[in-house]
Amino acid sequence: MAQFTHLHVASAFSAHYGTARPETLVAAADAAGASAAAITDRDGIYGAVRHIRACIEAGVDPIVGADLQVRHEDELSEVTVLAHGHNHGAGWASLVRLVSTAHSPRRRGQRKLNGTAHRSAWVEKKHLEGFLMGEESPTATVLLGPRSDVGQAVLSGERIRARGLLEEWKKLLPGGVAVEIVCHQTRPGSAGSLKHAADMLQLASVTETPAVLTNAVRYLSPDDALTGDVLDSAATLLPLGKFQPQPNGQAWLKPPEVMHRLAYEVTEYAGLRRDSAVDLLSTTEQVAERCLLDPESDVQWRKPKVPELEVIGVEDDPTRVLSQRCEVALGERYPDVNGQGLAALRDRLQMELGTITCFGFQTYFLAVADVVSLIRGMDVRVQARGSGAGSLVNYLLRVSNVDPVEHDLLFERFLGNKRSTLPDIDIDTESARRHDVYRKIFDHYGHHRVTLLSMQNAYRARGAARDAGLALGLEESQIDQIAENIWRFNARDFREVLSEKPELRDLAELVHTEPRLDTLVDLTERLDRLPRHISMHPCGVILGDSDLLSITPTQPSGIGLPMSQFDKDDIDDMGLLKLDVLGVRMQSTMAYAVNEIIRINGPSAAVEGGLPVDAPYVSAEGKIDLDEIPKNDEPTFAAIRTTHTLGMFQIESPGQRELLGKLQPDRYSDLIADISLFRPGPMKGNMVTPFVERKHGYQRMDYLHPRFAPFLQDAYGVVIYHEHVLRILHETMGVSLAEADEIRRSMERDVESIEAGFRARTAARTDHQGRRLFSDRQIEKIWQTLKGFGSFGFCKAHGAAFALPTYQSSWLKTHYPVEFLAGIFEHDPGMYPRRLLMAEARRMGITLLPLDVNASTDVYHVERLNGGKKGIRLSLRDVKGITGAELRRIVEGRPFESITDFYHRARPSRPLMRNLAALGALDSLTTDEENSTKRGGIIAHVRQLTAASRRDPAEEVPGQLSLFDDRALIDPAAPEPTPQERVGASLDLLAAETEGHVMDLYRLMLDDLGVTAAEDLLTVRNNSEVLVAGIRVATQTPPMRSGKRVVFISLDDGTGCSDATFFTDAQEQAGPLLFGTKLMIIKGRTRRTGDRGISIQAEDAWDLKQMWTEWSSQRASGVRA
Amino acid sequence: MTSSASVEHDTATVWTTAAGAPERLVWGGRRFVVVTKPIPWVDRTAWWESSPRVPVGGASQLLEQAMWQVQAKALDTGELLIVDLAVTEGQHWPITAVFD
Repeated sequence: MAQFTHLHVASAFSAHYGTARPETLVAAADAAGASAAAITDRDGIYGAVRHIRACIEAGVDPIVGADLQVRHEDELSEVTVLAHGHNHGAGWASLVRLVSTAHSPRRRGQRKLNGTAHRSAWVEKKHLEGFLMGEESPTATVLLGPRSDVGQAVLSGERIRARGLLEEWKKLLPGGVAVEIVCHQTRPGSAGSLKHAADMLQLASVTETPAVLTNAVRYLSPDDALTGDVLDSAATLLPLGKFQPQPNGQAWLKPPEVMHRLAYEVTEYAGLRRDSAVDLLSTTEQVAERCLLDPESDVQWRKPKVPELEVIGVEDDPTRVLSQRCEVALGERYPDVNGQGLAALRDRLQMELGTITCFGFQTYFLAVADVVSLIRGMDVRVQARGSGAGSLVNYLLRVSNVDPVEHDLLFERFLGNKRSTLPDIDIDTESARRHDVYRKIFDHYGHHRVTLLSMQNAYRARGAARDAGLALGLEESQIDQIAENIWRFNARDFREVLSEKPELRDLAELVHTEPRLDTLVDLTERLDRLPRHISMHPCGVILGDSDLLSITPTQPSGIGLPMSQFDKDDIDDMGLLKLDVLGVRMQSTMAYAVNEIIRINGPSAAVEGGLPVDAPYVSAEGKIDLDEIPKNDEPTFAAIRTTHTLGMFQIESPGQRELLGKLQPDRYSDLIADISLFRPGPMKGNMVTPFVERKHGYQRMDYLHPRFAPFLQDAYGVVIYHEHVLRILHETMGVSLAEADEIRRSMERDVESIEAGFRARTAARTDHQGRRLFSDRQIEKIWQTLKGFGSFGFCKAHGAAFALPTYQSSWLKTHYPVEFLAGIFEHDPGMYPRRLLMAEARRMGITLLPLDVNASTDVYHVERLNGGKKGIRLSLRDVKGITGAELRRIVEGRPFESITDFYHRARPSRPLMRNLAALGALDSLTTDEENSTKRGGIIAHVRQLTAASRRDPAEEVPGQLSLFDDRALIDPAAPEPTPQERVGASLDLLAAETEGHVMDLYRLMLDDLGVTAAEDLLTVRNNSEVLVAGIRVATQTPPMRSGKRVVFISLDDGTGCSDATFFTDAQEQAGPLLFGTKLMIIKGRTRRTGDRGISIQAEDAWDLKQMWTEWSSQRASGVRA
Repeated sequence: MTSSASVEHDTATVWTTAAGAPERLVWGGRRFVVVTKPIPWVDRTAWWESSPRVPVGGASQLLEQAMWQVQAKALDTGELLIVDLAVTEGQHWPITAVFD
């Protein structure tokens, strides 16, 4: 069997270029008998870790390189750089640093062109030496192919110049240069043609330069070339036919025999002897040999690379430091625990420390704790999320604020005894401060030790359809229309779902009649999951040692800080420590509310919030420590039970409101259960019904076995949590909790696989008198439960950590509704548009103070009203078209004395001035107290003012402005805007209603049709037919027990939210309206869901605007008749 | 190559060797013989213009067109031409370019 090593292979991680994933390419190379496989992506090594992993699995040696643009005297050309291996990482490090340099943000005055085809990364030719020359020999081989400067000169027939350039390269990198022969059999005489390849080989021969044969691969098989065309279109942002396409489809991973034949053809054409072909092929293998990487010694595969101890402030043995810190914290976290309780805590601590030390993760835990305390030191809210909450060590280090002992959370679920990679500890922080936090981490640990994580954004159906549409040259509007109806499915299933999904019905019909759309469907499927661009990961920060930048290449992220070219799937194998520092808007919301509470209430904060005057979690100045509030606050639970939960973290969705209506939580563990039950697993596992029924006493409590009672209390005997399963397996099979977690994991994959072992071991368990602990009947019953549990449960530590911000936000909404909603408006944390939360504020009786240039600022703040009540002043920030500079001038220029004064000093743009007038933000500037309805006059006045040319402010006499009195200029007879116009203006210009509601515009028709208001739904009998109308505020396809898709649509009509559920039939009825329509009327039947819950089971839906047109014209003709 | 003239919709009748390389052709009523070793090459098509079905794995033939570039001598005048021929089923092959 012929052997051939492909040295030049772009994977799909060359965005908008390659079409095959590294794993597929490696498998193909392996199947073709190769003993090594290379990956050479464009401008980076984005796919390298996956490549190496696949190579290790396939038992072939990995080769890693990159395609880079080289700049020399303002000319760009391309080379491929392959890292040499077996040199203790020297080759890898040079490649990595070279790639980072290519991306360094040093491009002054460069115009950035759109489209990936315009690559922005390049290196100076003269700088290559510094990166690629080791002390004695080069650390990489540079391949000079058809697109290199040498290759270009050869193509244009400049033999002497080509030779000169090649000699230059060899002098620059002695022993590190090879000529790359590529024959794509393109049109004779063009790049990649037989002649081009032959001329290159001849040049190599006369200059005695090593030459290698490659196929400059960009796809796996000939069929993929077509996908390549579509990617080229996306890269140039031009439709096919409007740009120079690839010359043909030859750049596939050709089998060894074909490559060998090519070698002979090229040699023959070059007029060289036959053994030159043998030389060419053997040199290719020699270069490959030199570039084989040893994952262990070259990349330190899976070896943890954590920051140096002194960097994280540890000056002693980390094991001792960790244990001492935890010991000290025991007293702080558990001041009232002693005796046996304390001994139990110590036992648990020792167990956790033992495991941590055994893995060598001490430094990791200390590093995470150091980062958390760094963030806390910035006075930024910070909270751990995820299974890390199951660790007492994390609680003691103040990484987590959930007491694992109180909630019976298990360390073993977080860190069992089989783990070899670093565990994830996720940290939530304030979204608005996230970038500050990142910068602080960079500054604190050093820019050479820290980088952000990146993520690969892959094509999903919507984006794929868009780019396929672009490639085919479809009209923008048609592409929009198609994309709008695409809702969460895999691009590769496009044709399949086309016939199934009601919202695609219209499109499916078009596909039958229009062949171009038929092609579009196929192209969309081809793009499925291909990486399209790289961006900063939403939360990942990599913290390494001082060699980090020799391990991972970096490039600038959107926020300027560097990000790694590796993504989350690469981190473990590279042994890099990743911190998940996620910006959570709700954390910003709560921080904002806490600041507003102290600002507006000061020392009387406790009283204002209905709290005891001596509440320990409220400081004398009025600062609330949210992490210390009691977790058993009945008013908070009462508020949650009303299901008026808009704004409360994670429990505001329609599905959650329905669940809360049934569940009626009255303790913290119910909240944990609520959040855990509202997950795909527990939903599918049907855990909700038994939980609710047992909680409310409709069903007998049953703990499966008396031994389980203590740990199943929190869920009324229903097995919900992974922790439950761990404890059950521990009790029954007599295995350790860590082993139990292993068994649980294999259960997730295949529940039957553990049955025999479970039955045998459980049956063998006896007490000290030799009696069996579990009877056959009991075993059967327990097994049935475990089997039903399967993979459906949820990790309680996750739930417990999630429940904390839920509880805290609910507490704030209950005790400080005005301050909390100001925070909500300011940071917009939830799933709903701000305008719905404004409606919620009105429902709660909170005054929303109108826009007023003398009172509104760039934030939503609380104002004390006459009579002591509090209201929320709307912010100017969300006024359409306002710029940061205008906002600053307004805020700094206050107070304004007249409209003219405002116009001249704040210098708003003319459209903004008119918008402000229309929104009533100038109303307070006219001092007329008698005339309260003068908006029309103001609007007219402003129209005049902005129509005239603005006088140069320098000409104005200072002090004169204040003498202006607009009153004389305002025409009292100008027509007032109608209420409808006011609503229209505020919706258009503020994306929210300040006066009235969008539904007011359709009131006549809605009354005529007998539409039910959301607030009246609860008074309607169960199962009656109703019509509801409103503006769509949420669309969800939440997890369902049946696995069938259910669409939830929530409409806001100004009195509240009505939630409609569309099952399969109703989805058929609604068709394209399902996802595409904003204003809707829905017909359906009411369905009570508990004491306070009601939802509508939809039967049909209409487009409100369309109905309005029909209704209006019918009325008009009716009047005429 | 000095000049290129695209010859659209022009077809030659082609006789090939056992391996499929052109050796003789009749074009515009004139007879030619191929005088140097023909160069095989691969051209591409504008496949999207006919809006074909292109399912994954089922479009490998669509994008490419096998070609031969040959140097041929006219038997009447002895004129030498370089001709691009598109490989086609049967004997009638389109001529896509002629260079003199």
